[in-house]
Amino acid sequence: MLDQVQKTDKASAAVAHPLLELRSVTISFGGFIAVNNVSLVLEQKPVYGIIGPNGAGKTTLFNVLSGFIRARKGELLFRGETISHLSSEQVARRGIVRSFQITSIFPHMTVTDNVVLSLERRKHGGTRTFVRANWSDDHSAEAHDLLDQVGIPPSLRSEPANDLPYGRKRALELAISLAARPQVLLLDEPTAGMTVPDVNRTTELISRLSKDRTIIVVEHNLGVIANVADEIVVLQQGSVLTRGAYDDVRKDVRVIEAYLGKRQ
Amino acid sequence: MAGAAAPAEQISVSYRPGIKPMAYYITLLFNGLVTGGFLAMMSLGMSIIFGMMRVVNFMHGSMFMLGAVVVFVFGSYFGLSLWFGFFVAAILVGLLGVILERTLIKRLYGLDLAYILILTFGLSLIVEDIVRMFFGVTSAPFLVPDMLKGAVNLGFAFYPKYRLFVVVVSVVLCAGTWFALERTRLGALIRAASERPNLLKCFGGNVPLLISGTFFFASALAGLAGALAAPIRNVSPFMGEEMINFVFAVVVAGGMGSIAGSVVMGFGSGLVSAIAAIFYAPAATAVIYILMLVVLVVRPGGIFRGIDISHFALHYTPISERARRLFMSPPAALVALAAGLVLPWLVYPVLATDILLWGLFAVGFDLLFAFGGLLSFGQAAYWGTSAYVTGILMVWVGVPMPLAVIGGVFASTLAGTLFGFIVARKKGIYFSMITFAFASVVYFIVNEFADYTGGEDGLHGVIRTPLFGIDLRNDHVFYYACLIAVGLTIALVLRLLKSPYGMALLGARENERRMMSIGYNVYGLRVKAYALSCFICSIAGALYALNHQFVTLETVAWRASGDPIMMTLLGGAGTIFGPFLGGGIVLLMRNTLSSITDSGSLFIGLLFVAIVMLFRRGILGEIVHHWIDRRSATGLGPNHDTSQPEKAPMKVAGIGGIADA
Repeated sequence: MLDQVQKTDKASAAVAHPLLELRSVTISFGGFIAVNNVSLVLEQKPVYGIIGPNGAGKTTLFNVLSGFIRARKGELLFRGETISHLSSEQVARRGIVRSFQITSIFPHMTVTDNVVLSLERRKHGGTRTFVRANWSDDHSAEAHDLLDQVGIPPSLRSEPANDLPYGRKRALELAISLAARPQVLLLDEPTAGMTVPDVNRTTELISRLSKDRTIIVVEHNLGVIANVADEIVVLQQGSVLTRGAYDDVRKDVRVIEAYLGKRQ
Repeated sequence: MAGAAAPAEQISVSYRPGIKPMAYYITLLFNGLVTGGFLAMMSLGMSIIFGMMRVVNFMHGSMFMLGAVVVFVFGSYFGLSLWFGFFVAAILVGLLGVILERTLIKRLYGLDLAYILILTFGLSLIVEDIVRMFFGVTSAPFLVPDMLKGAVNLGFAFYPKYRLFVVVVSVVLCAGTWFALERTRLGALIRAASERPNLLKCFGGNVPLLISGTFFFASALAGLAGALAAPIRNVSPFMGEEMINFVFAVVVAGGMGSIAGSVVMGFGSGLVSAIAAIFYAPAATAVIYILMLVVLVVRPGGIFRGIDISHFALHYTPISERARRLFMSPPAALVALAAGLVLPWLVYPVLATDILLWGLFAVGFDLLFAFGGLLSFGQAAYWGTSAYVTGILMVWVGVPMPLAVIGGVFASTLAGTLFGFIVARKKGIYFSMITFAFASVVYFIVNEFADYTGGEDGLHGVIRTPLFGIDLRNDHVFYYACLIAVGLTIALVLRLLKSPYGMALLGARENERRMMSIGYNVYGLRVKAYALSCFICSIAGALYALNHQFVTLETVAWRASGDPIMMTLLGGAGTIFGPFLGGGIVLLMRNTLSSITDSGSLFIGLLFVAIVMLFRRGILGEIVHHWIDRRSATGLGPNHDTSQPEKAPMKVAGIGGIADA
C-alpha cells in the first residue's frame, strides 16, 4: 500500500474518527519550512514508525502532535476533535504523552518519586496541598509495578534519578510517560545512544506496551523500526514521502534516494 | 523617537498652559537626551557583556560612579584638565573591569547567572562603601574646559555647550560601537566568540583575550559616561546605584544583548522621562520602570530581538534531596523552635523580633528561589506594602491593630497575586528584572503619597495595643507572639512543600518541559507559588511595622529586596531554617558594626562575595552536607552519597555563550 495522503476525505472521517489526523499543517521557523502542508491520518494501530533523513521534520511533527508547537496553519484532530488550540499540558491530559530526544527526567528526585509525580497528576490533578504526610504511599504499588515493567530493579529505586546509568534513565522516562496512562505514546528516538542489550530490551518493551495503546516512534535505527513498526511513515523535507509496511517502504526507490541520493 | 515638535504640542494642552515658553520645554527635552546619552552608553556596555559572557554585571553602576570620582579627584587635586580626566577615567575603570573578570567573575562561568549577579552586587557594595569613606557628595562644574563653557544658540533656545557635547559624544560612541561590532573583522570575531566560543577556539581564536578586551571596552565606556557626567551631576558614591537600576530597565526593555535595543531604549528612556517630567515632575523616575513593565508584558523579548533568554531557568540547587528531607523533618523543627525560644534572652528583644521577621521574609523569598526556581529581586514590594497598609489603617483609619494586620496582609497578598498572573509567565533573568521593576514602582507610589505614608520621614504612630488581655507593648511578649505567628507560617510552608503541590513545584524547577508533557500546568503552579511567597512576605512585613511601631521608606526600597536574598544564601537556600540563621547573622553584624564602624555595607559586600566564591550552599547547607558525607564515610549511614559534585547540578545546560566554554 503506497497511498500518498495529500488530502483527507471528510466523509469517511465523519463516519469513524481516526485516532489522529493532521489537515494541511504547515510549520515554519523564520524562513525555514520544517513541516510543509502535511495531511496525515493515523489509525488505531499498535506501532507507527516515523523515519526520514535529518531535517525531515520528524521532531517538529512530534512537537505539533504533543502541543509543544501550535499548528497555526492547518488543523490537528484527536478522535475527530480539534486539538490544535490546546496547550501542551492540555494535550497531555487528553492522553497524548511524549518523550524527548534528550533524556528528560527529574534528576534530583528519587527514581520512585519521578513516577509518583506523574501518577499524582493523573489521579488527583497534581496540585493537592492539604493531604496527610505519607500521601505518596498510595502510589507506591502502582509506581513499583511501572518500574517493574520497564525493568528498573528495586535496588535502584530510592536513588536520585541522576545517578542511574543512561539506559535506565531512558527506561525511567518511559515509566514516567506510562504513569500518565497515555492513549497515544510519542517516543522520540527511544534507543538513541543505547548499548545493544539496552536496544533489545527497549524494542521488546515497545512491542509489549503497544498492546494497550498506539505508539508512534521516531527512530534512526531502522532495525528497531523493522522489528516494532506495523506501518512506517517516511518524511522528507517537511513532507510525507510515502507510507506503508517496512518491506514495501524499504524497496521504494524514492526512500532509497532520500537517504542515499539519486543514482547517477 | 519623535522630534521635539510633537511633544511640545502636547504641552500646550497640559494643565499649566502658557506659563513657560516653548523654549523651556525644548530645553527639557534636550536634557532628556543628555540623560538618554548616559543611559545608552551604560546600557550598551552592559548589553555587550551580557551578549558575550552572559554576565549580568551589577558593578556597571559602580563603574559609572568611579569614572566620575576619578575625573573629580584628578581635576580638583591634581589640577588636570577634563580632557585628560576622560582618558584616565576610561583607562582606569576599564582596567578594573578586566581585573574583576580575570580574578573573580571568570571562576563563575558555567554556573547559574544568579551567582554572578550576586557577586557583582556584593562588589558594588564594597566599592561604594570604600569611596564613601573618602568622599562625600560634590560636583565638578569648574572642570569644564573653556571651549565648552557657555551656551550655544540652537535657533529656538540657548543650550549649554557642555550638555550638547555630551549628547554628541554619546551618539558618536554608540554609533561607532555598532559599526565596529557589525561591520569590522574584530566585531565579527567578538560576535563569533559570543555565539560559539569553543568553535572559535578550534579555529585558533584567542577567546580569553577577546573576553578581556570586551570587558575592558564595556567598563571603559561606563567610566567615560561617569566622567562625562561629573561636571553636570552630583558626584557621589551613590550615583551609580541610581544609574544601575535604570540601566537594568533599559537593557531588559531593549532586549537583553541587543546593541540597537540598548541604544534606542537608552535615548528613548531619557526622552520619555523628560516628557513625563514636564507633566508631572516626580514621575520622571517611575516612568522608566513603567515603560519596562509595559514592554515586557506586551513584547516579552524586549523591543529589539536580543538573545533568547526565556529558557534561562534558574539552576540553583545547592543542597541534595537527602539534606532537604533532613531539614524538613520534625527534629530540625524542634531544634529551630528551641533556638527561637531562647533568642530574646541572648539579644535584646526588638532585635530578636527583627531576626524572626526578616527570617520569615527571607523564607518567603526562598520559597520562590530554592523551590520554585525563580529569583525575585522585588519581594520588598510586599513586605513594604503590607507594613504600610497595616500602618495606614491604624494611623489614618483608626482600625484596631489585629484587623489592620489582617487588612495589610490581605491587601498586599492580593496585589501580589494579581501581579503573579503577569510575572509567572516570565523566567530567569526576566523574572528577576520584572519583579525588580514592580518593586521600584511600589517605591515610587509610597514616596509619592507622602501625605499618608510620611514619605522620607516614615509613618509614625503605629502603636501596638493589647490583644486578648495580653500586653503586646512589652517587647518580650511581642517577640513570643511573633514566634507563634512565624511558627504557624513555617508549619504551613512545610506542609505545602511535603504535599503533592510541593513536589510538583520542585518538578517544575527540575524539568519544566517534562512536567508539561505529563499534563502539569506549570504556569498555574508558579502563580500559586508567587502568591504564597507574597503572603509570607506580607505577614512578616505587617508584624515588622508593629515591632518598630513605625514604617520607613526603607521597607520598600530595593535594598530591602536584596537583604532576604543575602540572608537566604548565607544561611542556606532550601534549608527552611537557613534564612533565619542568615537573617540573624546579617542583623547582628549590622548592629555590632554600626557601633564600631560606619562601613556596614563594606562587610556585607564582602560577605556576599565570600558566599558566592567559597560556600554556595550557605552555612546550614554546608554543615549538613559535611555531616552526611562523614556519616557515609564512616559507614553509619547509607554507603552512597546523594550529594552531587559541586558544579554538576548547577550547570546551565545549553545556553550558549562563554558560559558553555
